[in-house]
Amino acid sequence: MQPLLDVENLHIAFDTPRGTLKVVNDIHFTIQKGEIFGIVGESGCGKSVTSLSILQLLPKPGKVTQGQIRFHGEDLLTKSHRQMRQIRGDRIAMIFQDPFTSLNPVFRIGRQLSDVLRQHRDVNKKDAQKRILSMLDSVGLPDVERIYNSYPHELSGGQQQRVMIAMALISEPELLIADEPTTALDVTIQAQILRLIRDLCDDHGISVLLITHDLGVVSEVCDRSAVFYGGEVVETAPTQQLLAHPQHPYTQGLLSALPTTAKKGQPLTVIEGTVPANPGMITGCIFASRCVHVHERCTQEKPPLYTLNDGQQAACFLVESEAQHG
Amino acid sequence: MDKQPLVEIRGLVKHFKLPGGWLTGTRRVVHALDNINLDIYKGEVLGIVGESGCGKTTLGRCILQLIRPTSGSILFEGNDLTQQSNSQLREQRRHMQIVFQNPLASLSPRRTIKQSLIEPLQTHHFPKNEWMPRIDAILNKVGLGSQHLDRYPHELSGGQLQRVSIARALLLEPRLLILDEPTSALDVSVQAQIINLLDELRHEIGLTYVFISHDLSVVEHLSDRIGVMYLGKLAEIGDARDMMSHPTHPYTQALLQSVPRIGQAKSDQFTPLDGNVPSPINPPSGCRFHTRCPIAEDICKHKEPLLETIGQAQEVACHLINKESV
Repeated sequence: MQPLLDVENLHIAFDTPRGTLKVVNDIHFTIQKGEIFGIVGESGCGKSVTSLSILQLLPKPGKVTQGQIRFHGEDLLTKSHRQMRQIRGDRIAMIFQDPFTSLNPVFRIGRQLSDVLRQHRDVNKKDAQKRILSMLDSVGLPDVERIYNSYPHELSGGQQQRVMIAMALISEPELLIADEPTTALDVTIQAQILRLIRDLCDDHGISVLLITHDLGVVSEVCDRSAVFYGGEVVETAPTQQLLAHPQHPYTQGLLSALPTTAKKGQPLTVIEGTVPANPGMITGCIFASRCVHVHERCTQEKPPLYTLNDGQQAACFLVESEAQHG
Repeated sequence: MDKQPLVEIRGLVKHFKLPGGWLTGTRRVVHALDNINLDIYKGEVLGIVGESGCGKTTLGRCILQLIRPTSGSILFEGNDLTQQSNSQLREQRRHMQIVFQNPLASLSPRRTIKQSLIEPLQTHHFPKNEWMPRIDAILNKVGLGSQHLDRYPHELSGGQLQRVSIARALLLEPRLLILDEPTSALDVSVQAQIINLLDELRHEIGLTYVFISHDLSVVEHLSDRIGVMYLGKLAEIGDARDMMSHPTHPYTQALLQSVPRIGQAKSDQFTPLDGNVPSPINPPSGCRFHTRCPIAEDICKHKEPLLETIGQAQEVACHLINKESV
């Protein structure tokens, strides 16, 4: 089956006065129809620029230097600005971490949603309003008539994020990109929003690319996930398998650094060292400088993403012997 | 019980008056803290958790008198801090220090680390010949070295800066350390380093911590006792292990269930808490949680529940729980 989104060999670089910074190097992943795909990683791992590049929203001077991003088999990177505008908000929509800065403070919620809807669909004002009200209702907002006529500052953070999700879904996109959608929210509100995203995906069959730093969030909603480190995919697998049987030393390190009930009273395992400043310059394994299992080969040669059982892939020489050939 | 209280908080109230309304006498008031009674014992780690706006940060600052409370008393080793003048307080603050969330914002960008570390010693009139030995000793304790002394804050990583903040707080050998979201701005792998450091220091020096955070798993990991706050009130306080395994207050239960955890996909029976945290300007009557509480009864709307002891060392403010236990 052809995947909905197929990112292949993606490279992103920023030209700076002090030289080129290669922030994303040779990234591959696919998203199937109807699945929630998670990207996890710490700050600076390239997860946000990857998501922005899909919609050609990379901030200058960032640019995609190599690779393909195929949506329904068509390469988005070859589209013109005009063509992209037809895709953004219509077939692929995006929501961001901070809902308040994503909404325009001087227009009412209803007006902002109808702008998006009427940009992409030929509907009159009355029908537009009807559709918006029912959309606000289906993302679980109370008292939709009042919200329709509210300004963003009159809503709470959770309500604003629901409005953002309504705006993203109003033209029934096939793919929703959510960049840290719950990071700015309290845990009880986060639980509501995650439940909503899961339900939308199950009920309407839309696909979601969820970007987060929180392994708990990934565990909760994502079908499959990829772990990013230093601008590369180090491991990808069905989520529960990834968390139960992590193969890459970085994924293992991340999981053991998390405090859990079982670890109370014991020191947490720490990943020594820091993320490399310019990962594109590293010849060997990107994680070699911090890895506890490092050996000579790791610093000289870059490990490919080895395919293991059950759709798990890890970029580490340690799994080479278990990898499937061919 | 041989536990001696270091800090005794009695009837602590903090109301912030909002501007406007002076003509009609309808000045609005934010009820940040309402009637908090709390003991902090020598040598313990007291975790304070709650969502945004629950008053946890205000509580931390009131203990240090960085914010003067509206009413109530705070006894630190028997002295009522609320009755002391600013100059008396300055003397007292040697014994109680605070570490903030964002280390880059709490260090002056124009001062080297050395200058920032000398300042508290100068303020508290330590003889000059003691400065450098003290600074060297404390840097060593937090895992930094003299090579960091002449750097500026922007030259250090987030984790290193938080170590500097902790070092600065510990320089004066305080007996109480308030940690206000000390790991929230850090990545998971760095967060683990800081948590381990705090745990080591505490056992080595015998410090008392008040650990304020919205992150339940971090609080659980470090704390001996945990207090859960909701809208300016303590909902529940008790032994950390007991509370995490047997939360009693409906809000604590909801909070614990809302946290996304690894490997435990939420069952379909889990229903996220409805609605939002009400505004602290007009907090609900009776029990402040009744608007969102799944088991609320009539009495909860009218009568305010008080903290009552249940079990061994657990206190809960809930009519329904307390009724059952009687």
